[in-house]
Amino acid sequence: MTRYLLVMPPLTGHVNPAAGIAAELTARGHQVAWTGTESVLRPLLGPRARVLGTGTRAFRAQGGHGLAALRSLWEGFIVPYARFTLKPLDAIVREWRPDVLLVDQHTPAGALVAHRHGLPWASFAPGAMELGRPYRALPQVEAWMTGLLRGLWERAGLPAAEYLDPRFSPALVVATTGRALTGSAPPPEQALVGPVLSARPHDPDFPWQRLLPGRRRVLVTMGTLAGELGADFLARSVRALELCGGDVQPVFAATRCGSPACPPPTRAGT
Amino acid sequence: MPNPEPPSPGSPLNRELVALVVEVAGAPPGWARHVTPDARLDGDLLLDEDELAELAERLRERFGPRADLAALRAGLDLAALEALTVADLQRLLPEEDTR
Repeated sequence: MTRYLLVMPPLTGHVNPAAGIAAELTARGHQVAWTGTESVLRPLLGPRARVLGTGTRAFRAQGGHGLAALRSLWEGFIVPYARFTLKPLDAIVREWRPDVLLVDQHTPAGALVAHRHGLPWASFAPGAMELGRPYRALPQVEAWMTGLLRGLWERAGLPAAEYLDPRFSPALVVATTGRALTGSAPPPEQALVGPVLSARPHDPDFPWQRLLPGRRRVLVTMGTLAGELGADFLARSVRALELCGGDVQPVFAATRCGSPACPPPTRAGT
Repeated sequence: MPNPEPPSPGSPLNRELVALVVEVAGAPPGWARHVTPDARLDGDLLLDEDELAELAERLRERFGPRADLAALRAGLDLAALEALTVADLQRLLPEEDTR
């Protein structure tokens, strides 16, 4: 029996696939605990999950487009969230004493704490985006991201000579994607496991009655942080899915679309 | 790092350059009016990395190897990339094509 600590950000699209991995580990007789923002994790994981909270702090939605959105993600969420959770995470690791950590790529503090305690850790990538070095053609942008991560490493008091990119465990990167999306064969430490689907706690707020029988359904979502970032994408998705014919019923997960092309959220069938 | 030269909002744009930008953006008719010298490629025209990569390729094909948008962007930091404008693109073109 091994004790696994899952370090996850307060983002639905990251927690849900990790929940499938946690369920499998539990079914195999291992102990699993989660750490992160309990007010977000608890509703997603249900009352029986062991959640070791790191405290709550509001983070702004990802703003802007393109490079501005990248800046917003890193400077508005990844870095401040890592700073905020570093100390509580350290205390949780000392108290709960996990054998292994599974660390989401958006919570680098988990990797820093694992390294400090000499614990094995794997990275968790719920999407393909971080795997393919999307900014490899822009070396100064990559250097900027590395600079932010090195700053976190230094802030954690870890030796500069031991620096590892906390998004990529040299031992194992579990990614819920596949070669069709990454485009090339992964390095040996990356396990592309495809989607991880598992039973989830019932959501009483979902309008189940609007799901029409006999339709093929398409779920469209831009993720928890996306904010206004996805308005144009959602509007284009509406138009594209209209071309798929009447037997397709799209389901949009968004606070609001912000475009006249999107139907109002009260309309049945969307 | 600032861009090499300030944009020149008043100068006319090369029509083929504007057409290429519109084409790679997959934009609807009428969108071309947004392609002005001081329009930022990222913040105003909302070109994504795929579209910028295609634009770089098309510029080299049409205007020659010195119209190298990829090399220009590779030398810029995040702030300069955010500030990159259509006027900066036009400055990449050979002199005979800038009118």
